[in-house]
Formats: sequence, C-alpha cells, structure tokens
Amino acid sequence: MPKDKDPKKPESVRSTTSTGKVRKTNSITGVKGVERASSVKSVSKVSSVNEPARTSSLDFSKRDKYFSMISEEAEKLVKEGVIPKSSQEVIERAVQMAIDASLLEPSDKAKDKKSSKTDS
Amino acid sequence: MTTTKNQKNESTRLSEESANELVVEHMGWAESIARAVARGWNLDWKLDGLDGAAMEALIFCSRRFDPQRGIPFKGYARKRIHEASTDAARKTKGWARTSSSKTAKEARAQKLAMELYGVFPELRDGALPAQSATRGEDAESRSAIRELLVGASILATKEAIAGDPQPDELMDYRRMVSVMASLEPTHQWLLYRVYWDGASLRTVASEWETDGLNVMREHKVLIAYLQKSLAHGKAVAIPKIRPGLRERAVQFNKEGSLGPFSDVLTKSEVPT
Repeated sequence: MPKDKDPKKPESVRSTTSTGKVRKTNSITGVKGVERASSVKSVSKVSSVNEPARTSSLDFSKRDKYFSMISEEAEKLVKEGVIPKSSQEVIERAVQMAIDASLLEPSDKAKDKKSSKTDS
Repeated sequence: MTTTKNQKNESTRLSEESANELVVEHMGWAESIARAVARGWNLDWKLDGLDGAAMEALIFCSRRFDPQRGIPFKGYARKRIHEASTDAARKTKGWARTSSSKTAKEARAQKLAMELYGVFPELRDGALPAQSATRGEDAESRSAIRELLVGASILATKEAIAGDPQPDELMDYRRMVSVMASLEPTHQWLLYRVYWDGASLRTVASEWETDGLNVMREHKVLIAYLQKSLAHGKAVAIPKIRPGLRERAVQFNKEGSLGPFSDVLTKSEVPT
C-alpha cells in the first residue's frame, strides 16, 4: 500500500436512489411600484458633429465664376498671409489649370446625355 | 478553384461586341475629356496626342468594365481617361518648360496643377473637394477653392525648397515649414507623404492600415489648420489625432519620430 493515499478519496460510488427534501417556494408577496424617472437636468454642448460632406460637380457654365472665385480667394489668402505674395500668380494659375482641365463643355454634356440614354 | 473564380470574373464582363458598342457610344465623351485637358494646359488635343491617349483608355475601360458592380460606365471610366490624357500632356515636348510662348511661371503652374490631381483626385471626376453640405452651393465652391489654393501653396513650398528659391521666398517657405513642424508627428508624416512623396491619401491609409476616410478627413482638418495658423496674428489650437489614427501615432512615438518637418528645422536644412 502506498503511504500517500488520500484519506478523503471515496472508495467507490453507488447509484443514488433518493435526494434530500426540496423545499417549496414561497409566493410573491408584492411588487414595489415603479418610481417616476427624474427629468433630464441639463444637456452638455456637443463640441462637433460630423456634418455630411458632399462634392459639388464642376459646371462649365460657371467657368468664369470659378476663375473669379480663384482670384478673389487667392487675394484674400495673400492678405491673410496664408499664401506668399511671391507665389500668388503661380498658385492661382495652377488651380485655374487644374479646374479648367476638368470642365467638360456643355455640348459634350449634351452628347453624353444622348449616349447615357442609349446606355439604358 | 482559381479557374472557377476567373471564369466567374470573365462572365461578369461585357462581350467584345458590347464593349465595342460602349466605345462607340462614349467616343465623343472621351474626346471631350481630352479637349478639356488640352484647354486647361493650352495644348492641342490632337497634335499633342491627347485624343489617342483618351481613346486607348476608353477601350481599356470598356474591356475591364463590369456592369454587375453597379457603377455606371462613366463613373468608372472618367478618372482613367482623364489620367491618360494628363499623362499624354505631360509627355508632350514642351511640358512644364519655358518657351517663347510660355513663361517660367506658367511652366511652374502646369507642374503644380498636375500635382494637385494627386492630392485632390476628385478633380479628375469633375468635382471639387467635398465640403460640408450645409452652407450653400456658392460657399461650398469657395471653400473648396480655398482648400485647393492652400494645397497648391504647400506644393509650391516643396518645389521651392527642392529648387533654388529667392531669399524673400525662403522666409515664406520657412514660415510654412515651421507651422507644419508644430503639428503632431503623425500629421507631419501625413502631409509629407502626400505633398512631398506624392502618395495619394488612399495609399497613405492603406500603408497605415486604416480606413481611407480617416486620412481624408484628417487631411481636411490639417488644411484648415494651416490656413488658420498661417493667417497673421491668429493663435490656433493644434489639431488632435482622430481615434482612427491613434494606433499609428503610438507607433511614431515609439519610434521617437518628431516628424519630418521638425527634423528639417532641427537640422536647419532650411536656410534662413
């Protein structure tokens, strides 16, 4: 017999035939009334909301308007010191070029509409 | 397995006949894109080969177009045709060079305009950079134009630093670099990758393993910050890093990076 035998270890397990008595549950004696919710005391300021952003399509009929906007805004940015005066002309012209090279002429758009009808 | 997938892909594309019809239908439209590019840069759309480039791109797109993806053909092809046309423009003999008919400023502007497409690719789709939808159309266009002007100004700074700027220009550029150096390293790297390295905002987003919108929105915030802080006598709070980029910011901090513009100022690589 090994010396380190666990004295608590059961020798064998027999099948159970009975359980201890199960006590009856008591009936619910009462439900506490629902208390009133307190009103919202204050709402703190929302610092920022992600506003929906959208891209506006370039319209050839507004070409001159875009160009004058570019000049006006460039002028403002130079006055504010955002754009160096020395680069104003180049920067203004670059933005003009980039926008102009993306504007489709109206006659082309009319052709587009015809072709898109045939698409469907 | 791959074959099945390939077969599935093939079947969603148009037949050669349908693709050819698409080309015929959109030929005029593709030419109009080439003409717009030629008009913008004072080129001849036929003599300078922009018409051929646009047609090639149109044919390519017709072969790749998958109608089942739910994107209209023009939405799919416009950017590619525009890109092909501007690439053809860049390959023309006199591109961005001075000539008897073109001043040095005009040549510089051409180069800057081309780079603007990298930063604001929506222009290729015929749209201005996205703005808040609550202001009214005119105010939105104005705000988008300001964004483009500030973007072009950053690009001009890069060009000038790389070149041989005049002493008075150097002071202006140093100011721009100083403002950028005041930003968080992550923000400095964002600007550097886009404006100095020419990476698109989407490329930066994929490199940083984050959603494209995180980088796009942050770029917008940075442009607004530069605009405000470069304006005379205005103290502006440095923008915080949005949650989507914080992981990247932690990495930069671990690497001990102060940001490329801070490094430049520290090393005094920008002469005063």
